[in-house]
Amino acid sequence: MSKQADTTPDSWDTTQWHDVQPGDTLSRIAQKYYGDPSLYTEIFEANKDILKDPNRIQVGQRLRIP
Amino acid sequence: MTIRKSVPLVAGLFLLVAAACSSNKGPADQAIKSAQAAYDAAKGDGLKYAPEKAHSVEATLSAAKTSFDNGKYDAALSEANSVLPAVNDMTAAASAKKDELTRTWKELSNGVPKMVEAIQSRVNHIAKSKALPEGIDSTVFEGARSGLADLTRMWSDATAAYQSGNIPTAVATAVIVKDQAVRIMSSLGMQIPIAAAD
Repeated sequence: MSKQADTTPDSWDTTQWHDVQPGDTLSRIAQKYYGDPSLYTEIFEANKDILKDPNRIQVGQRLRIP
Repeated sequence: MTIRKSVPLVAGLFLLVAAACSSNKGPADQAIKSAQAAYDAAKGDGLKYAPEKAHSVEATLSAAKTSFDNGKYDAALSEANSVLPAVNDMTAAASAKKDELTRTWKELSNGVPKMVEAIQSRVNHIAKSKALPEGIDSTVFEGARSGLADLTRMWSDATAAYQSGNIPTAVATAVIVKDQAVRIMSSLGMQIPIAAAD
């Protein structure tokens, strides 16, 4: 899990981020943060501005973890 | 010099000194009253934001009153006259401390509620889950959940203290909330805001 970027304008920003790694899926990310892969929809909903399809995420994308 | 000749001289000197001292009785009395009034006008913020300086002023005022009561009017006048500069110094220190605490409060009141909200969101998501995430056991999760309730209550206390003008208590409570929020976020594997990690 990476620390929040130092370039964030608001030093109190509490947005939680996940940098997509090789082999990641939204289900695996949901499993990692919530313990339940079925909660992937929560992550998809929080990242609809950059994700069009929950099955297509790209390495290097930065996803919000609500 | 014979004793007979020296007695009037000593008595005369005594009367001279006594007259000189008593000549400052009125000014000393007035100076003490002025010093007390100046301190009374400033002691509210002084005791709250610069208590050491306020207690120093009180000690000087007390010494002036003691000197006056003992008939040492010169000393009383001198001590009372030193109070006003000390009150000004206390007022300046209190004002600076109040400004500093107000800035700290504004920063914390911007950031801490965001931390509490982020923890609430994570706790809500984990609570929906069928299992706990790796690295978080039920003790940790329940600790986070009960800690979150404490954070909410303490933040409410901090806000109430600020609104009632008790900025030192508000800031002290807010710092406790921030530190506890950092601990909970860490226990849940969350990223800590840069400002809170300092």
